[in-house]
Amino acid sequence: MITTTSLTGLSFIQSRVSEVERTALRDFLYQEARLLDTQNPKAWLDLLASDIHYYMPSQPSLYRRQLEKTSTQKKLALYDDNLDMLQRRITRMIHPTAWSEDPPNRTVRQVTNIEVLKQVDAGPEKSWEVFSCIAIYRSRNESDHDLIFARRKDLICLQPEGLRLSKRNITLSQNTLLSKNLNVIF
Amino acid sequence: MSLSEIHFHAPRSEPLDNARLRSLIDLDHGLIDRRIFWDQALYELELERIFARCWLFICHESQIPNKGDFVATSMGEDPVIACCGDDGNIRVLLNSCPHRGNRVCFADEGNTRQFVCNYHGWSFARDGSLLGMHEEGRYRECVGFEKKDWGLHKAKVATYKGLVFATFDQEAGSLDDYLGDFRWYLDVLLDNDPGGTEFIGGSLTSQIKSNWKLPAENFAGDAYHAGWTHNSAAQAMLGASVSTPQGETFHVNVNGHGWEFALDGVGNVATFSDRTALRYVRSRQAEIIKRLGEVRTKMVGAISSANVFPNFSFLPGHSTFRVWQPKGPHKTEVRVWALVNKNAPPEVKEAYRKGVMITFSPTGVFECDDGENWEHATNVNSGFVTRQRKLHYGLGMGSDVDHEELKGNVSAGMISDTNQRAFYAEWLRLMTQEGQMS
Repeated sequence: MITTTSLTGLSFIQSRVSEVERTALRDFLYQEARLLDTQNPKAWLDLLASDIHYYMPSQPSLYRRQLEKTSTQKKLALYDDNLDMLQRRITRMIHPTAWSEDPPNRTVRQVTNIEVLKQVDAGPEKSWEVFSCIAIYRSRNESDHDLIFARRKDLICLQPEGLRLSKRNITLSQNTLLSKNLNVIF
Repeated sequence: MSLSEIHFHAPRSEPLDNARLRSLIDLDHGLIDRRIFWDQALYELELERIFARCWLFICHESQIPNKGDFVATSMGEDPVIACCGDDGNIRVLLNSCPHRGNRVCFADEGNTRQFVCNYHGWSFARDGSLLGMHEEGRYRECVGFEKKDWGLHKAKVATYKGLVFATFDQEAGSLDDYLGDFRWYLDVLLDNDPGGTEFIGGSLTSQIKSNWKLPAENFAGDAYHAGWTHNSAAQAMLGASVSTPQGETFHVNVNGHGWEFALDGVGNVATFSDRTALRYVRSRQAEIIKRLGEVRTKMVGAISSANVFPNFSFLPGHSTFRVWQPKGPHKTEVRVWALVNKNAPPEVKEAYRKGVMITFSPTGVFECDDGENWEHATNVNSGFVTRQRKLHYGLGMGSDVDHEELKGNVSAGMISDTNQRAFYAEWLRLMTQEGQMS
């Protein structure tokens, strides 16, 4: 139920993010998706901050009582990358002998549910916490195809060159990855 | 037999007698019949004669150290739970209620006092025994019903230096006999440090539309594909192509288990790009020589791969461990873990965690190109004519050597099909239920 209080709270949060900023952040996410969908991963790398942390944990099925026990232990993840690791992935992806990239995958990334919740005070740079959902359709060869959904929580900052992705935390919607691999960027 | 001949007369309904099974695996000529990657009837027989009989990898003891800790996995297509009991012993229990068959555990891992079926509330202790059920009074009146008879079905369990195995064959020989001299090689990873090993937390699971044997035989012996399939990943991680290792290289096999390797010491661990794990392996060489001798010390981080028959594989250098769970003749579920020495410093464990993730995991730059090969090597066999064409497994015929130190069946050269042939020899032995382990 929407109450006056919650409405007030929402407008308070939103008032800290201008419509111009909101549009720029949305377009940043769309631009990423377009570059990746049009076989331009090197241009995508240019949108990353030098301190990028790109993280996709695995999603074990756990009972609710167990979920509450948060473990600080570092576990195997699908991605837990810095800029160097992401650059290496892209180096492989565009190499002439990356057999599973040639012929290229046909992908469509749909970015939705964009929510700019608050402006984070993180040093001198202006930065925003941006939530979104992404659906990636990957079609390969004659009939291979995957449809993978994930939720994302990003930290996007404004640097002299423009907006840059500084953190991406990806929550995959699958427990067992129902694909042979995940050579796609979310 | 002419290879150009197409056997239009070979009927699909041909009974799976031993003569038919033997015709699929021609070890003398190094020829394998593709139907072993395709036929449903052969697959069903594999579940019965291989997966219900062999010692299968379940988990690492470090995953379930405390009473009530459990992990869920499967043996063949049979779902099982490995649980640490109140006595500290690990049980492997069929994850199916003996009342109506529903699964009694839906989590991948956790800690529990009991497993309770959602259907009628039958509950089972950590050792699988039936504790009680909804409306228990009715069963007190039920003639002939005894709770002690209706626990979860148990597999036979044994461990080797931290690795937990189980078999549904209560008559099976010991795990030690099953592994045989392969234990001498397993010690390269499991016993190079007095503190033993553990799995880094978590696992990664993916599904490949491939027959399970293709990845298993690949890890048993296919050094050959590395330089070609994985060139792009080598370029990304090393800035160079996969090079042919200098010096002696080998295939060794024992009871169908296979390990192919060079004696370069660090060739695989070098692909992590971050050099922390590489430095760790190098820094311990003198100490490992004292424990394992010179030859096995050179195997610790080396260019190598291995498979414990039927479906438990690992890359010694990368420390990536995995099972290839059969999910039908054309589908395999892969679960990946990373093994480290318990005593390794935190930064070394972290280096292995990150190294496994970026090399051999579902997102790994090397693994990305494997799944594609295995899928198409499987699904192409939907073609009737394609399926009749035998595959060449003849590389390295007659390369057997006597070696003064190396145990098991040793052959020279890692670019070879020797271990793959040994894998299929064991497959045939189990499928026909004839012959001895070798």
